[in-house]
Amino acid sequence: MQLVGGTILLLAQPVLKASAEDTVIKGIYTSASGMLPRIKKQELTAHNISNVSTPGYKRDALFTKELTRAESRLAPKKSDWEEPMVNEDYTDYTPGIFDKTDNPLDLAIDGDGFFTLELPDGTRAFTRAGTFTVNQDGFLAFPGGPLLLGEGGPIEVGSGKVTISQSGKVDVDGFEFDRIVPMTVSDLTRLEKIGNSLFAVPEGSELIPVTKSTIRQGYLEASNVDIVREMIDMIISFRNYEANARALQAQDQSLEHLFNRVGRQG
Amino acid sequence: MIKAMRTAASGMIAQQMKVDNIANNLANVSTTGFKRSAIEFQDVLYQNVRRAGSASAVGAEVPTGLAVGYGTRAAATVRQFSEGNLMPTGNPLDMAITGDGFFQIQHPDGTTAYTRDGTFNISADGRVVNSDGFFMLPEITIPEDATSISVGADGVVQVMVFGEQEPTEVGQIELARFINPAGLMAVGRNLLVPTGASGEPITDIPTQSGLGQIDQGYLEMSNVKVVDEMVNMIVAQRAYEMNSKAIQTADDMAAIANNLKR
Repeated sequence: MQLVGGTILLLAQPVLKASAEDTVIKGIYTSASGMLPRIKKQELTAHNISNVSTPGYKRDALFTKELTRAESRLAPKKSDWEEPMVNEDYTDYTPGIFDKTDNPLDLAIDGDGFFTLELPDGTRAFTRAGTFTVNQDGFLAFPGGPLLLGEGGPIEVGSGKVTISQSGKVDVDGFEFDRIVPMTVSDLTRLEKIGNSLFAVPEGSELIPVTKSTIRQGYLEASNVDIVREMIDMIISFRNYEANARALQAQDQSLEHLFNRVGRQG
Repeated sequence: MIKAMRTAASGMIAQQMKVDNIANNLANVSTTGFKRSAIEFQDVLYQNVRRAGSASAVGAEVPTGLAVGYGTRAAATVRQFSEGNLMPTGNPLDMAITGDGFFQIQHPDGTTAYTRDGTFNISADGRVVNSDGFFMLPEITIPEDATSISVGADGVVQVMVFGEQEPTEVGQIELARFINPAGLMAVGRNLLVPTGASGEPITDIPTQSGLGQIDQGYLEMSNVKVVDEMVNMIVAQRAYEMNSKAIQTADDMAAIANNLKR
């Protein structure tokens, strides 16, 4: 077995079983597996930072869980060094601050819940980015084509002047047309980010209206990415990565010492 | 690692576009009838490293999964049609619109273009033209012997002709509006043209159909607010720097990986 050069490759294809005879090398695997989650963490941090100006963006966070020995014993036909760290990401739904834009079709939700959109394929998606426009057919639409859904389905406002009250009432030229009610699902972890500031609503999930939330016209919810926090995360994951790399190198040096020096005469 | 770099690079490109756009807004801070635009961003497609609900190594169901996004992209440029301040000029053919309407201009290529810039003049043959010499639609001709021009709030153009007691009506200005003015495309020279997203123009006389009224002797100033733009520029510059730091960090991590093997 190769000592160092191929370690990461082996980790990428975790099929080998660490047996009693390569316990010396096991430490190298452990250090390497400490490096891998930090790469993922750095990717997530870069994604968060790149979306610092995306309205309605919700930051992604990663937690890395160490598998206990007992847990890894439970894994049938898996080596005990595979995935000593398990990566899971979650979306942080903390609200962002409100940016005043004065654009009457920019909407922000003050409180929980999402705007419900109908995608071109008929499925539902959620968004917190209230950057709406009126499409050429006179419906309130999201950039890229999805239609905003009110209580009565897609909201047709034609060419009138749109006023949206805090309770979500959509008035066109002074006449009440529809109502926008923020919706949510019982388990937010089941929402899946699909890009374009959309969250896919899993099929068959029940949409729950959030009546406590209010709508603010002329405002957009800013990204909830906190750049100080991302910077700190970046430094920590970088230093962790570095420390694990150092540990790996130290073990490599001990092995070199073992193979080349120990037992040598004179 | 390379992915983190590309992701952060998409953030840098986005911030650069934002600064480009702010520069254009600032450059037009004194342009009559100019409407500021803003770029809106969206996050990009996610790669599912591990789906929520899939089985983990130990056979348990992963509750949240791991999805890593690919950065950001510009989704739309949105023109904001909030009204600019009105500036009195005293010039009888300077007009401002209070409301949602646009003046109609005959573009030399034969199409109709739309503008909020109400700086009009009289051409050599007496027709009302904008500062580039493009005719206002419907065409209005001012007689040579007119001594004064008055434009009513409803767009009726009357002139006093030398030697007459009563004003003569010489034309009626019509305005246009759009279902989605944010979908209009700017073609330079303060002109906007309709697109599929803006919808067809709805034309009528001023004060009708929500078009607003005409204020003679006033010009509508640019709606760019310098302070807002400056704040946006500072934010964009710092975000640009942050993204470059993320690239640097990813690069440093790659260097460490390379140096593992001595």
